[in-house]
Amino acid sequence: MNPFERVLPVDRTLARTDASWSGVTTIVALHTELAFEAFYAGQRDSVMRALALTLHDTDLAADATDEAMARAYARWRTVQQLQSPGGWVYRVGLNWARSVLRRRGGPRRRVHEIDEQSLEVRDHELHRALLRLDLDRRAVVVCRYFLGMSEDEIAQSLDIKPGTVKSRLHRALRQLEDQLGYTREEEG
Amino acid sequence: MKSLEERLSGHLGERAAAIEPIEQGVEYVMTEGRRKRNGRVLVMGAAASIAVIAVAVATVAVFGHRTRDDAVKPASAPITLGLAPATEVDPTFEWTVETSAMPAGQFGSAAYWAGASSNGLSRYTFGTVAHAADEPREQQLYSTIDGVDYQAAGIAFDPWISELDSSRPSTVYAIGTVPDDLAFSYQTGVSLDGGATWAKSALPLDLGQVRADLGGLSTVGAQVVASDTDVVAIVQTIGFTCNGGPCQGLLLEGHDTQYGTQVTADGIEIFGAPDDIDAIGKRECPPGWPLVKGPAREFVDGDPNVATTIAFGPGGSGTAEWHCESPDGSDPDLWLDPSRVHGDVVETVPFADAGLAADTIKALQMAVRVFHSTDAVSWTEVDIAAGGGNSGSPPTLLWTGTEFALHAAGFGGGQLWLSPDGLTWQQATVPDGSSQMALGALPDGSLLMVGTRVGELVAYTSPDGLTWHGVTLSGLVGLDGSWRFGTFQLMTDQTGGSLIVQAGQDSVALLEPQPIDHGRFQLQLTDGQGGASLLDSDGNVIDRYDGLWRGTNAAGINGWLQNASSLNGSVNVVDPATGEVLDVFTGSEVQQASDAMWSSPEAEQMNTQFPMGLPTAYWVLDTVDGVHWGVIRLDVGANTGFAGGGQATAAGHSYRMYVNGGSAVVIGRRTS
Repeated sequence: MNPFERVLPVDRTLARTDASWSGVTTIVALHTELAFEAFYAGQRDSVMRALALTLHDTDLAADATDEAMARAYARWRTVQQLQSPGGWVYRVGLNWARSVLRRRGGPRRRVHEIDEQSLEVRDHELHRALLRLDLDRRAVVVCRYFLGMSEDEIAQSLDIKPGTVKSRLHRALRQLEDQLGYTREEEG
Repeated sequence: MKSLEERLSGHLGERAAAIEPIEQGVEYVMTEGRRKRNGRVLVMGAAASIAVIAVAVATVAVFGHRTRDDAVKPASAPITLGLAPATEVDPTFEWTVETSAMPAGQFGSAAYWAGASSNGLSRYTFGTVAHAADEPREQQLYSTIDGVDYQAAGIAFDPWISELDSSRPSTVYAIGTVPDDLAFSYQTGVSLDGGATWAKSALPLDLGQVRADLGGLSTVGAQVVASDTDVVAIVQTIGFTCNGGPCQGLLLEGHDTQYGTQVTADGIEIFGAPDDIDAIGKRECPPGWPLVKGPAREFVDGDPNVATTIAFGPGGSGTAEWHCESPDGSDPDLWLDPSRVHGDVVETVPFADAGLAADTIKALQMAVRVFHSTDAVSWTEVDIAAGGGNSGSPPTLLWTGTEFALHAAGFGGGQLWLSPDGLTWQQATVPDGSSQMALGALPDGSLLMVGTRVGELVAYTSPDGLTWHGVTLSGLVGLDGSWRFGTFQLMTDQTGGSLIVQAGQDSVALLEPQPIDHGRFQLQLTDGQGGASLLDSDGNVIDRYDGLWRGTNAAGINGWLQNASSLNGSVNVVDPATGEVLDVFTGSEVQQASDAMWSSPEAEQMNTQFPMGLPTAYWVLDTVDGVHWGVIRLDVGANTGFAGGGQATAAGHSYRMYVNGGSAVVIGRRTS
């Protein structure tokens, strides 16, 4: 199941009409705050964790999630209609993080990496192999094996063609297999 | 052997469960979202990042990169701030990097955001209790003597604290936010028994009815500080993108507010339509670009990362949208702050008629608000104009030993206020360019401001907040021309101050992008922190500044460069003598120059050569008087960064860090 499943919008156009706000002026808030808050509460941690796994940088992932969530709220009327608003936030956060990394000249050396001592990473070999994947390949791996998305769902979330998903996933797995010493049947 | 798919699922799930979600909360996100929806990208304060602000805006076109042979080479001597170098002395601390049993990420503090100073000796700090991903998050007070070992104090509680002051014996003051209806309220607490029990109270902000829908608030910039007799709390209300009053999204029914409003003592003044659009266009837009009413044109549809404009800072008060239109459509249009385009006041609506009290109006504004108490339970607001809020540079409050000092950054530049009792405040002065500097107090009670300006690491001291003496610390660290200072934290207590600073080789400085050539003037990006040089037609550098990505009014050392008045990302070239705007480098031109640089073969080669990024390093500097400094380079490897605020303990100074991906403490123990 797509963990970024759609949160149905709650139409709540807020209009102050109680006595204390009566008079010449009525102040109107134009936005569906509750629907977004529900979406935020339900999806925020999943998006942040997925980005942290993809970027291998918890702080950057947190910033990217907040930035993407803010963009989602800015255009909430559109985003809430998407099949996977959470996937949209993941993609926007990933693209935003890319632009930050690009301006920094690549991944930070002072990356606030996930604390491996406290994490007690058990599969160091796989951990290191994942780090060697480029961002595009790591993103599809995280979507597939952490978020459990289908290839079509990955394509929708990352806004790429299903064929590109297949290609990236295939190459990522091949790269991991090579590094981890898996043998595979010859392709022919 | 497990299949690769099984290993991946297990490993990623295991790692994800251990990630502590870091968040600023839905209120923060929604406030930022409102700003974006209103057509601008507000500078966001990345945690612990002082000067480097990444603006998530992509441009449409990528221009070709000229060869190095075409480059205009600066022929003049470099322009510097002209400050005297600090005197190097032996450090007053012995600095070591030690492993801590407490994961650094468990701790939190407002100092994480600002590089803010402490308020003297602190025996307590707060953090998050380790828990599984599906367990509720709880906070915990911790006590420490040496900054390395921490003991839990009291019992864990639902999270609400964002900052505390434990500089007074046996007393801990705290401030934070708690849920309140659909939104949050600021809450203070005081504990006389080391955190076992708390007396809590709400700060009287009068957010009242508007809070749930419109009034944003954030823990960023909230602080509480005590002297022997008084307690002062500050908060930074973010409001609803207001710049002097209620604005976009607030509709005064029956009134045409599309051209903006402003708040005066008499009520809400409503502006009328502008009389001369062409004249305003000539004033606000690049030469030859007409001013057009309406939203900027979309260039690429459906791509959330492609925006049409770069815009910074606080917006105007109207709902009318304006933009400077690219004459040939090859550049993105420039969004224009609506407050720059309006006519005269046509009507004044009294507060009572608008259903708004003055306090409610104040609650909606983006500003630093100050409260006083003697017991930290009953609070009274002190009405001083302490400057606007700025999420990138939160305010700092401290007790110097003789007076409270409040430094508020704000979009219009820094402000410094001093008060002996928290009730009566006098505005003092700040050094130029200090809006993003950290404030501290030295043992003799004098003030210390430390930060970076145009690439230099600088320290200013003042005995009274009126006269300042500056020194440059850059020479002590001895970086070559391609390195830049980045993140830093300052901490001061009754025995002295220490500064931990990260620096790294700067990719923009290495790549030396081509100047944007306008003939008489040329603009050259000099680093990734918003630095730029202005060159004349012969390639002589005539000014330098560091405001390219900054959402504030930034100006060059020699007065030629200024951020455009509408803060839309453009850079004006101004005659320092007359103030006349001589040329404009648009935000899109700057972005295109940046993109051209990143598309160059040199950039590709650099990325290939340094796949893990350019080198960085950390230094610690300490001082007693702000003029004489000791310096050592820290022996930390890659994957290092700040994880929380520093703390002045009975044993010395401590900074909690990630070092090589693990949890560590940088400890400074006094040498005598």
